[in-house]
Amino acid sequence: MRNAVHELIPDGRRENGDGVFRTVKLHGKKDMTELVVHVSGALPRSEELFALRRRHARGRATWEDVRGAAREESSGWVRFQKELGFDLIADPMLLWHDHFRPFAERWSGVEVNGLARWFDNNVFYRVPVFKGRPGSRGGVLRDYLFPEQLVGCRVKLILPEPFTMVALSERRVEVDPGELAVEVARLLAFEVRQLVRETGVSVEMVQLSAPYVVSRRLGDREAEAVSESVRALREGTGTRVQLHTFFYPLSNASDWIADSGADVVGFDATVTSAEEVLSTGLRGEIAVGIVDSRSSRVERPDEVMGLLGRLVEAGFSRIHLTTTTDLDYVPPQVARAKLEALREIRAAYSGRRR
Amino acid sequence: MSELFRTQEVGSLSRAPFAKKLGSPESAEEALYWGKLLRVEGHEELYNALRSGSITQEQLIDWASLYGIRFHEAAGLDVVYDGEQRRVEMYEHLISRVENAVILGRVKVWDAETYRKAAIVGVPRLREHAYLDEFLFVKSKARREVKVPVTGPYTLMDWSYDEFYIQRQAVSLGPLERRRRAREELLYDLVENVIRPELRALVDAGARRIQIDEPALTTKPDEVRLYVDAFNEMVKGLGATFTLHVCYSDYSKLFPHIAEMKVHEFSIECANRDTLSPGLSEEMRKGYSVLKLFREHSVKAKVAPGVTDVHTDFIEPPELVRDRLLYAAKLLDDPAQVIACHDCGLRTRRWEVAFEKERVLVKGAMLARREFSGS
Repeated sequence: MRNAVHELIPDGRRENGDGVFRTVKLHGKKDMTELVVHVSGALPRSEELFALRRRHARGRATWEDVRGAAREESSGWVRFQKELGFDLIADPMLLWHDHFRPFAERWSGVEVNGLARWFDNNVFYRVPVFKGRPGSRGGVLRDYLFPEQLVGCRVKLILPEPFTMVALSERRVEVDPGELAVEVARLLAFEVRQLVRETGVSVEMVQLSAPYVVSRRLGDREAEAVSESVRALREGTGTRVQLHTFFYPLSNASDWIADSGADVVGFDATVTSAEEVLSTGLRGEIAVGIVDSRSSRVERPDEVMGLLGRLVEAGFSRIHLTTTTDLDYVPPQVARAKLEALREIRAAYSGRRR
Repeated sequence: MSELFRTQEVGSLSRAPFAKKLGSPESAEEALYWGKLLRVEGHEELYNALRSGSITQEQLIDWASLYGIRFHEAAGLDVVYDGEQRRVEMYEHLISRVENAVILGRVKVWDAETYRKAAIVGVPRLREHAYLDEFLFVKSKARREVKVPVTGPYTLMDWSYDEFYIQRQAVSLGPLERRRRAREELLYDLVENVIRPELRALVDAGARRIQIDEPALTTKPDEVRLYVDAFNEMVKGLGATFTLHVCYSDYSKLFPHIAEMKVHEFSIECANRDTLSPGLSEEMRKGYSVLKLFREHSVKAKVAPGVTDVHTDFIEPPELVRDRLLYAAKLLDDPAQVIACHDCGLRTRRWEVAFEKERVLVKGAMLARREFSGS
């Protein structure tokens, strides 16, 4: 059962009937708000690494060649995040062709098929095909990430949101999509546990990348499947979960997102206004996709101060400053500038508060 | 030219084998082999130049263009071009000639496939023609009717970053309205300042068939209406037959708007979604079901459904090509509305495979014509 929006609004505010809270006086809680910074997706590969992967696909380079080159580039991205003072460090996922591929290629019962468009982008992914109930012997994250580079860091793992994966797959197995999504969530949790056990990586937060859940308004059962998947990840890993939405307005999930069970909900600030965020009833922590991963223009702190100010005023206890999604929509030098912009935005806001 | 089921290419071929292997001993042999097969005039001259290493880059490209033209002609196509032998890639070829478009670097399209993406940093204007010299060369050499492919304004916009137009929109509009207005302004400026000057120059130089390539068109379905209006503005007053090529897309997103488009032909990809079995049943020809939409929405333009799949080396039997054309004619209820072509350019195929695909296209169209001539 979902709560009505007005029941979830913090500070006793009430909706005036048209979705705008004009009669509510927001309490200033600036001093209570913590700003943290991390990335919310893959980072770009160099031209050389792309070329090497093409050579590998044609049989002219070994997988070890690819892994070696990717390891070196990955190390540079991890170091850069540390230099910038990010609170959580993410593997740049340079071996991931798309969000689903490592799992679609390695899990039993799943295969990869032809190309399909990744939402409204000039980017395509290989469609996973569920031919049976999925199963795993583990090891996927260990093989597709470089965990040795993350040891000693507070790590954020970025995974596909299960219902998004199922919805964008072809299902040749007679099972309810929601049920399948929860199975996927349990397998993802298993992969995370195994990674932690085998490598000693300290995972502080798992991000579930969830563009599908805001691409349209989900039905009750679909929304419930998303929430159940989030719970399965939380309980199965014992870590905090960031349900990260992008490409489409968070308002498309306004009637259920606050009940999703996620510790942090992320939204794409290039398509979602502060009013839309506040009308969802979310409270506590929020991840603001404030740096546009799909644009080459580097954000200036003064451009985002207004949005940040409104979220702080609304009383969020912690605001995660992050990218809208993967930064591999831009070339590496632009991605670096965008990561620097995240640091600058935090510095500028902190300075203003002082 | 054939009355029914006219045959035409869609655009690109892979680089001519002798150019691809330039610097190796096989380069000259490739020039000789293909020169004889395609009956390219003076091919011995190229052979000798490649053997002696006395060929300039410019000469090499001219030869590649000539071989591309003869390739289509030797296969028997009614409408030809040069396989885009002078172009690196459809987007970069044009955007690199646009003022206020700055190429920033490579980005992923899928897996390890990339393209060089540009940022629009000011009002775009055509700095130099991208297609005119190429067209004039083709026109001077071709023995068949010519169709010149031009990258469309929507694809230019959608495949570029916008660092300029979005900044001109008031923040108070909200994020979605800001983006909508920015894209509308950018699209119309690309139409007015980049594409129309290019089209005008081509028409003035004698181009009578122009294909606008818009692979990005259905990326944002809510912008199809905007595009139809922009397209109509783009071709206004230009005396040429326009083809719109859209491939690997959800074509249902084009409707109902494209019924109002002032275009003469739609070129779409269908073979890729079809079965490989001959026959005229709906089950066998499932790749062509989209044609029902063209009829339902009373689209008057001709339709060129792809009848060969450009992403496989499988050579379609002529009977399969024939049946695809006949089925398309049945769905559109008019054989005169159907043009025979490939799903897309044959750039991903080796020349040996591409040539066979062209030949079965011609043979299949001939078989389909027989069904209507009674012979």
